[in-house]
Amino acid sequence: MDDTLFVVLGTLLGFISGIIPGVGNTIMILASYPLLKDASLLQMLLYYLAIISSSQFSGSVVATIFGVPGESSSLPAVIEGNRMFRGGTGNFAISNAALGSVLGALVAVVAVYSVLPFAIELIKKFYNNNIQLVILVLATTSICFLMGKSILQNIFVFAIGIFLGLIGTNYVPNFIFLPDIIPYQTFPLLLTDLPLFPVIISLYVFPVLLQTNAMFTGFDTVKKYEDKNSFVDHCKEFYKNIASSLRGSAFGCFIGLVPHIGSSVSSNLSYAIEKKFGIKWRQYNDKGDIKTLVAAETANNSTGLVSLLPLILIGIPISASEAMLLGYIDINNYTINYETTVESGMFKTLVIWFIVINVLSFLLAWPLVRYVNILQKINMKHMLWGTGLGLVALTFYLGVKSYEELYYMSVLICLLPLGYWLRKAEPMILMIAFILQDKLFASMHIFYQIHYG
Amino acid sequence: MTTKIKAVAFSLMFSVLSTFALADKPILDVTIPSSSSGNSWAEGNLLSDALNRMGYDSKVVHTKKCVNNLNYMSKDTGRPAVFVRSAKRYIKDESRDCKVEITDKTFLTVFYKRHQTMCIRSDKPFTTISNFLKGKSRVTVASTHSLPDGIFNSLSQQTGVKFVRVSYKGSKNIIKGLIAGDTDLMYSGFTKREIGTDTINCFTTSASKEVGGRVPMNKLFPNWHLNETGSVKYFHAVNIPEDRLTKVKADLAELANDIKIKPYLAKTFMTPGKDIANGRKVFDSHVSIILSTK
Repeated sequence: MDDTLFVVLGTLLGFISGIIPGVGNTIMILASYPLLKDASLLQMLLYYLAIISSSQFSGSVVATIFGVPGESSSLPAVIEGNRMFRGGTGNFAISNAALGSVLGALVAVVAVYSVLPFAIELIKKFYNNNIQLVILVLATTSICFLMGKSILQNIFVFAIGIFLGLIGTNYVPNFIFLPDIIPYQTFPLLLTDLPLFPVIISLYVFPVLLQTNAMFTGFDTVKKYEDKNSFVDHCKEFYKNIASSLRGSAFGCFIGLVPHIGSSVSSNLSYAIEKKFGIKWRQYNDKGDIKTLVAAETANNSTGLVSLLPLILIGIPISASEAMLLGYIDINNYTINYETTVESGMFKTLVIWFIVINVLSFLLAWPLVRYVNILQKINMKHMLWGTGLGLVALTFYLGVKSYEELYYMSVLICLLPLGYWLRKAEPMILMIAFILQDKLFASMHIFYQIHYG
Repeated sequence: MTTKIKAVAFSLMFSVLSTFALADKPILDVTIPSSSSGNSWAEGNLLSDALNRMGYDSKVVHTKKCVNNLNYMSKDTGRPAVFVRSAKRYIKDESRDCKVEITDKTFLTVFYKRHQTMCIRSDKPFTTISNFLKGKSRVTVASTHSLPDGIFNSLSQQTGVKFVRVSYKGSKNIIKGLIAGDTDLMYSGFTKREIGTDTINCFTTSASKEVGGRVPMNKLFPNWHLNETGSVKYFHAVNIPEDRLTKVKADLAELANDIKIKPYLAKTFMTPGKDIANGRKVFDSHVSIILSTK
């Protein structure tokens, strides 16, 4: 398929993932496996960029009108945007968030190109297994300290992810995990590892859907969206808030590199700082403040490209959706690092498309937002469970394609009780541990062989 | 309107004739029990294209892993195929209890023998192996995880320098490990990648004679049991009717002269199967050498 088609499909599906709260980018990437299984590395990255960028546009629309955050980074839109919507200025909240997102994307491109030559030089000179091990340990374990309510619970969930990742035959180091305890002889397919797709459906998608379903309990909105202002009015309004947007972009670029929580921290921190300034300067509007909203939404979008850098340069993901993407990159046996992305010239193509995607999303979002009232007629709970059932069907399909349908469905069903328990924990921790386990153990083993072998 | 009807009728006739033309061609697919990228995938496509050029109806069947491949081979798909299998893959499959038995009927012919090589970083000075090892008590060697344990033990005993094997997943990562400075040496198959990467210097091969100015390993390490061991790949018959076996064997041997396969083999100094007498014996011997049972 053509690269353009991946961009168009990614943009459209990103819109959908932003519209359905709780589905998010990770689940959308997961559901896209049939599309990505034969894609090139460039197409996979283009598709990913399209999804994460366009979902920001539709996500802030839904957060503003429905008051439900699609992801934790949408909280400022829920607070300020929804207040503005209820006060009758929701149209400006939405347009300014969208314009801010485009500006954030452009600032991110400038920031990335400023640091890229230095980053590559550093990687070339110093990136060996020792450094890789340190980054992997930080990227995987930091999630236990940055997310959720209890560190102990997080460590337990992380350990489960590692345990599941170890099941079967491990290659570096070469061993079969717990051969006397795990019944490999009765179920020989276990030797070939647990398949990624059913594990993620049971232990990430299922608990996330349960969590989102709970958010919709008692949810209702009757107010309709309307916009009687012209495009010029919206641009004039944005011009008044452009300083907040630039501040948000700067935060987004800096904080986007914090593993796992980059986008949510950049968005919420930008919001908090802008609010503090607003109160200090007596500009903050407690009935819905547009400056804080613009700062947060801009930060969110500039994070999108910046947070992709560790994956593109050294192949280490720092968010759940990136980890999912890396899972697919590994399945397709591609190598992702600065040689295959930057030095091959692919990165330039990615950046050009990133700008196109943001402009395209903006142009699409503008006319589409007028039809957002239709969403109020849709039962979101049905949408959520429909997504879940679709993914179960996809699991079966992928099982058939691998001649292992019974194995895929058995793994999915056996892990569902654990997934049900995970609704009270952070399922993302388990997913990261499961996907990165083999890289972490391989790096540790290589470290041991080099220094003590 | 009449023109349109004529065009439709012509198209239908053309497609029916094409189907009959295709039906006349003997079928011979290529099964690949690995990912849809990398060396095996590229080789599968290369072979399938060559078979099509030879007059076969051939496509690549991508079964991803041994278990799936085993399932595919046990099914009567109505499409005979060849499974391109290396000695290393055979050992790996056996160790994972995914046995695909080799018989005189299933072992068709050797595809090629690829030589092994040893490389160092090109920015490090290298004159002779004894100079390289001089003053060192240990040398770390990047190699693929699929090699059996203890392959460098005898080398350590003979040279008095401890050869420490550092296992990487995949041959791409071996080169990266060496360039990044993780290891002193690397040991891997002699492919286009090893030849084309100018940041590494591959100074020896497992060929019995000098290849492209590279000294044979049997001169550097005369007593090492792996000094002439490379990677041998053979064609395994999948559902090929007995009466077609002889013709298929002859055609597979002839593939080495194909316009695309010939330069592919020559570029990396591989020995084509048609130049290897008694292929089955060579393959079995390679398996036992790798397993160090010889």
